[in-house]
Amino acid sequence: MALIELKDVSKLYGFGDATTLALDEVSVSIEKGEFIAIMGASGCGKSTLMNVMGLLDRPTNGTYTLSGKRVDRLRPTRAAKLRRDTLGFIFQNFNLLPKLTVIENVALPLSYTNMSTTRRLKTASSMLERVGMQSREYFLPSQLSGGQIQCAAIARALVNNPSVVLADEPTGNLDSAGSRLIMELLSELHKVGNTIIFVTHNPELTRYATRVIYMHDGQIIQDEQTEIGQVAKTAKAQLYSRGRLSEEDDMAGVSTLMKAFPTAEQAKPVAKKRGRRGGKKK
Amino acid sequence: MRAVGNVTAALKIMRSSRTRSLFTMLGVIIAVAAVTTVVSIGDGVKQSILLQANKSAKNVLTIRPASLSDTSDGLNKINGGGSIGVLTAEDLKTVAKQPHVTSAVSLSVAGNTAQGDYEYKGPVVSVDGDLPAVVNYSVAYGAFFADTDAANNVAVLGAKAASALYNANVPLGHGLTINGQEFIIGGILNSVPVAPLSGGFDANNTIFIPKSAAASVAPAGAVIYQILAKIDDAKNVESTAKKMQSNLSKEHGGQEMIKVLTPSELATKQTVTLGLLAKLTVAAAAITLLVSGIGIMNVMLVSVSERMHEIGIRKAVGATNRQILGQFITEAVMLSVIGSILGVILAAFACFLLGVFTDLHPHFNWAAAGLSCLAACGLGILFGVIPAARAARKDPITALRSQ
Repeated sequence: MALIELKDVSKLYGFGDATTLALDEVSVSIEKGEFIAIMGASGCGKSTLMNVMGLLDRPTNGTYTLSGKRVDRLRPTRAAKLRRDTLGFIFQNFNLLPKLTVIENVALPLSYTNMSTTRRLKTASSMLERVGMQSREYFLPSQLSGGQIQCAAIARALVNNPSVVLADEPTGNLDSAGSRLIMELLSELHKVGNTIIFVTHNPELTRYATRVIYMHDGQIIQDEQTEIGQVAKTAKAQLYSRGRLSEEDDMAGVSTLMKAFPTAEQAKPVAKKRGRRGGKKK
Repeated sequence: MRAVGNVTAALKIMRSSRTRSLFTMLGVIIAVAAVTTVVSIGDGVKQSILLQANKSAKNVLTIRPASLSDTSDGLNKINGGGSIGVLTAEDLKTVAKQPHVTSAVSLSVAGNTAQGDYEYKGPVVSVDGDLPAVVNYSVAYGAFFADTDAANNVAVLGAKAASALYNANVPLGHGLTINGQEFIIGGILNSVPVAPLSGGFDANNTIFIPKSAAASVAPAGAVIYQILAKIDDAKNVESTAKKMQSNLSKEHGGQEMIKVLTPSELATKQTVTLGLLAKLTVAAAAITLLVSGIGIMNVMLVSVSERMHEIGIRKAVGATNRQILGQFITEAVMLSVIGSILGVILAAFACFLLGVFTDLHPHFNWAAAGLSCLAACGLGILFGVIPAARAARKDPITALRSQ
């Protein structure tokens, strides 16, 4: 049984003429222990997909099954409890509460459980130790570097021992050293059995993933299995096509990633191959 | 999150924005302090009156025209018209004849100005020589006039009247003119304790003259405004008062023109004005509380808008709507609770200062403090619900996107 199963999930924003289709009948199946990178141009629906999978947003249509249970029409309270117990979030802009210390931030998800304060802080402390931040427990987020803040955010995402960690551009605000630190950390978490789904614009980071999902205009256009340590093929094509956009492409808003996608003829066998996993069939 | 966690979080938020929190609490502080202080002052005055009644006139019944009995001091209404001539010398005789009455005196207003070294505006009261015995007045210098001194035109001064009329410390033997009639100061009373703000009859400001001399001072005749009757034992006060009331009514053709007041009834009458003042203050404080509640709601609404992103983060990590609601209501209640505590401290300080620097001796009223605190907390909950519900209802993704 898949850990996450989305079937024909759509998400619409706005009304009437101002309607935006953020997700267009997306189907995807994610097994436990996968390390998935989601790539795509800005506005293609990556974050919306993460929000739907993270129960922060409800799909307009389609079904979402998490650990075998339908969760697409949950009541807010039930959804909040599932977020608390099953999911861990890492955001691009870290989203730590500025007035709380690092340890208080990490312990925040536990404060909505019945755990005692002492046990909460102990658990948070051990989680900070795991991400190498124990010496910064009583610092405020403003006193830390970007990489350190994101480490704390990762500790917060893991403190409730979630079955899925969702990271929306976790390295988006970090330099290359900080990005490497965070990705190494996520990689280690994956090695011990965590399921990790992250959004990235950086093709280089696909070398940490076991599977890469490419999105465009609210649809999954490619789903590629990849080897850890190797940049995914499509992402690699994008990487090496950097700067090769013609002036017409630039004017038409075509990205390097779009240029890197296989043509319709080339894509057919891939689409058939990933039929089992879902995705937009063409 | 548990309640303790909510309280800790609320205190942390308040600490981080001290000035705003203090200004938000100001209304609650003022309202609680005002109610507690005024009620405490009232309590202090009541206690003084009762103490005074116990000390000087424990067994004394006060008989007044019914039209005057609803005021603290008959003197204030003596010229009102309707009450003139209600009490008569016959009534005094009726009162004196009642069982358990050991002595009875009438008090009549004979004038309101006197000329000594200085002109003095104060009540000139004609009484019998028995007055000190009835109400336990003690004479500091000289002696109170006896009924036999009536022809000698002797006057006795209250302590304050003496110092207001003359340069001398002890003006015994000095002359005094009332309505052109000469009097000699025969005695000066010791200071009589009078409850402040009670509006009660103040013997310290009064010039006493013999009843028989009143005719020369007030040609139209002195109007009896009250009769004081001393009862032999405190346990007979209530029964004698009832009997006296019915007898006096019979004398006046069954009409309730005269009212017999026991010491406790008199104390209650004397605090009527104060009670009215207290009611007005409580009303003003209630309005202040209401306004401060609206202030709390406004500040909480602003706080919710400012902290929308925080709400989003909390919801993303698993806070339920109810937990967010609880957190914001706790913050509103904490503003009220801390405001109330500061209000009570301010009231205690005000009572202390009033006790030291004025004649008032406020008796700190814990019940009023507790009730006003409870009312403030209730308002905190009432006005905290709307902002808290607004925060709780927010969609997590919308809240997360707001910065």
